Amino acid sequence: MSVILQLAFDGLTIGLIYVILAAGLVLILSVTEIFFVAYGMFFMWGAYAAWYCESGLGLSYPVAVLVAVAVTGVFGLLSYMLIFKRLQHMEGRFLVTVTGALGLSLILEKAVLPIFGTQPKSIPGIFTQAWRLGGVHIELKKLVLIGVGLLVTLVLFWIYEKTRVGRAMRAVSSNAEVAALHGIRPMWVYLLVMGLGCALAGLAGGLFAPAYNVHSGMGANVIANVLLMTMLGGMDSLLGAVVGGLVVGQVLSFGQYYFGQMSIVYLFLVIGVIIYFRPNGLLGHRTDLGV
Amino acid sequence: MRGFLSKHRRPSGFLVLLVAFALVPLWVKSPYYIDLLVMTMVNAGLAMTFVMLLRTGLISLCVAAFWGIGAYASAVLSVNAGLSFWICLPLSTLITAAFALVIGYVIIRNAGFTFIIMTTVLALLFVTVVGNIKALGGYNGISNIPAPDSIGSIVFDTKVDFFYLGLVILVVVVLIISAFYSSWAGRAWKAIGFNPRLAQSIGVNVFRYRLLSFVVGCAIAGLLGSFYAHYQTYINPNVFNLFPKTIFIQVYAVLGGAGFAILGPLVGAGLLTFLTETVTVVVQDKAEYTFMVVGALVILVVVFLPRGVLSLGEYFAKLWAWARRGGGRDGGPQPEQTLKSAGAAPEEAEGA
Amino acid sequence: MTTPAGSSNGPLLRVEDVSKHFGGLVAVNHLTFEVEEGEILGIIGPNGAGKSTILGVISGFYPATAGKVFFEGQDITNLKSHGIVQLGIGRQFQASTLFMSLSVLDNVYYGFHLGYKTPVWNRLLRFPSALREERELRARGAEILDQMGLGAVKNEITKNLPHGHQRILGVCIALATDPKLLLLDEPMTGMNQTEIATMLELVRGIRESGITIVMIEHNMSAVMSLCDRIVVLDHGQEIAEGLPWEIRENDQVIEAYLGKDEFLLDD
Ligand SMILES: Nc1ncnc2c1ncn2[C@@H]1O[C@H](COP(=O)(O)OP(=O)(O)O)[C@@H](O)[C@H]1O
Ligand SMILES: [Mg+2]
Repeated sequence: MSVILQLAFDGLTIGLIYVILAAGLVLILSVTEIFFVAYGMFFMWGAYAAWYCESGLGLSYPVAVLVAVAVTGVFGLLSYMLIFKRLQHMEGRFLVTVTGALGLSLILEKAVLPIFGTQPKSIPGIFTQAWRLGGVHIELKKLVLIGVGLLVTLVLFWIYEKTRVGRAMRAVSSNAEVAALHGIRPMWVYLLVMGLGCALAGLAGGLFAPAYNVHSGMGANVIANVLLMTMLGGMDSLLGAVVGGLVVGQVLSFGQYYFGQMSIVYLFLVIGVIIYFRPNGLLGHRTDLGV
Repeated sequence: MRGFLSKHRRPSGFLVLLVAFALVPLWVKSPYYIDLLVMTMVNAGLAMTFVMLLRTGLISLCVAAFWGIGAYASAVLSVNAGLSFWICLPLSTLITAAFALVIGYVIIRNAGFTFIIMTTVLALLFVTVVGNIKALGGYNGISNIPAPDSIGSIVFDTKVDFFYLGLVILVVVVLIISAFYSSWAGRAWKAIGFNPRLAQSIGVNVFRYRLLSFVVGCAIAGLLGSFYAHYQTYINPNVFNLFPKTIFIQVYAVLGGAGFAILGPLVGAGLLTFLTETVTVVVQDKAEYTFMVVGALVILVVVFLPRGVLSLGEYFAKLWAWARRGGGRDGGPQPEQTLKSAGAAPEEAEGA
Repeated sequence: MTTPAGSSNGPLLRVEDVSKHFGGLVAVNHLTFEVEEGEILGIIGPNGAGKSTILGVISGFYPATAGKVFFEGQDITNLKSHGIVQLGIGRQFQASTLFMSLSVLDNVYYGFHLGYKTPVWNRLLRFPSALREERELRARGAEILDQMGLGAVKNEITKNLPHGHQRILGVCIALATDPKLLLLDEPMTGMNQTEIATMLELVRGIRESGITIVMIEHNMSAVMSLCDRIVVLDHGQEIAEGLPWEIRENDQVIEAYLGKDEFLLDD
């Protein structure tokens, strides 16, 4: 029993990281229609930035996370302004944007090695309290992660559903040309979404860093899981990202325990069957993304 | 398309290139450079299969995984079952095609982002699955894969032998691919890439032709995988990983020019394989710097030369034609306009 | 219900109680009509009436929500679009949907997809039969272009053509599929007066060559002079059907168009 509770708790923790990641990716995919494979690298950079600010610069952990968010957000803005803004409207844009994103992820993935070294990093000594509750090992840092994750998700929904900015995002996502006719400048929305999405990846990385290890392979490791979630939930649905993140978090937590590394394979097969019958995912509407 | 790239001059042009290429080992004796040439041929072939599926409007990031299936099939058949390379080669091609048929049957119903995600995940799963199968050597891979049996007096014991074997295989692959392109199947592929709805309205079964392209492409990748396994004598799952192998395959195609189905991958693979080595020497074997330079190069190419290096050739051909007409009148081709109209990569794809 | 295929009695196409919903939106609502062999049937109606949608259902691009479609007595409701083309229903799209970066001749040549008979491997081995077939199809493509007045521009790149020519090329591609029934979606939109006159002649010519035509068109004088019979749609339903002069004087039709100044019945 306690094993199951423990796995559920751990699944929830990693699940909320996934929720944040998937939410950012859903925004980018559905609004900009850029297949942004480099996204996982922003997660990694967020984690490295938080580690560096905390251990290298001696900043307090919350500040370090904020810096990580700012750094990745600015990275995202820059990558859009310098690269993807040009590629987005080219002939054969699907191919050039994917290729550009692949190139960017090569740079970002390898750049951490000379800068931060090849050793895995960790941020020890943050929220070290832990309790045993009915046989479940509960660490404060994971509780903090869960709390922040929930808060961020709620704020994100509020922005997306209730504010003018969110309405602009939804409008551009469903049809950029129509949105432009209504006085929305798609370019600004794209820029905003790239900044916001990458900042979310950075936030997830910053939250991830104290609870887990930081290493240069984490970006590539996480991208497949996040892509799976967005596909499961629906690539244009924020709620789908939440559902996908939580479900995949739990499935992988239990799967790792019972099936080991192969659990991701079984997960993919199940999601493949779901997509076969529901091509736009559980909660998505558009099947034409990137077609 | 005019000048040296024009259609009817291509076969003879290729023949000249082929003969020149075949003579290279007479001058270049260093096994290191021969090795690079062999890898260029394999890479170019893989990039051609990527372009083949791209023609139908699909981007596959699991080319390397099917290359790996071919390599593993061949390695197992030769090491465990003791079969000769000459039997392993066609068998592993068929096995890869069978995998592609089953997998493609499920994933090809989805285009766009869904398809590319499916292939991305498949690429990563290949490594996980193979790494977890003890019989395939796990993450340590399979070693001591035997060289091909000798045919008559030809013994495969030097890199030069493999160079010629690879060349023969590549020529066969190019002949098969270009025959497909010039048949109605190739035209159906292109029609789908240009506009799936219009393709349907002229009677093209979009699903079936995409599947055909996927299966043929993967089978060729499997064929190259078999060759690669026996050439390297050692394989492990990470060779066939998404990062960086499939990325590189896509880059070969885009760098040369995705609108050029055969020449593009050849030029792209040649340039990048040698460039990567040069960079590696310059940065003194720090692999991470090599990757960063390649990444930066990729971005520069897609931003400033999205139709690839070969589109420069078309641009110069147009400039030349314009100059010969005596210039003037329409003010000559503007670089940007010409580059945009050059090549024939699928455009204006829309959903059904 | 079904009549033997190809029999001379019975309509060429029968749309029977067809509905098409997009989510909650009812685009076509219990629509029934027939198309006789050899006629030109006009479909008119205000924007959003469901005209393009019903062509999409007939040609298999949208699965029907309810109802059935029969072609030559055969139930084609659940066939895919490429299968329907094979049976002999060709279609042209509303927008200029063409292979823009190919030459004009290549557009038609690609349209012969169903015309290839030789298997791929014959082409792989460059058998003369395969090459001959390709030459023949090219010649036939040029012939179609000549008939449709595009012979002079057959080597141009399609995207450089003027709009009127692009529209005609769309019809040429549909003709290359060798249809018995041709579906045209607003072939004259955006054309000037002379281009419309040309298009009228071309459509008449196509009918004379034995091809039945269903045409959506907003240009009323063109519809009135060209069509043998007219079906009027509004909100996905048929509100009138009859000969051109009957439609012109139908109160319900005039009412449906009232206040929609883009569709003046008399121009
Ligand atoms: N693919 C689609 N998805 C959702 N709604 C559609 C789609 N196609 C058409 N519609 C809707 O169906 C209705 C009928 O459209 P359409 O057949 O194009 O009208 P018409 O051709 O008569 O102008 C319109 O309200 C339109 O918005
Ligand atoms: Mg319409």
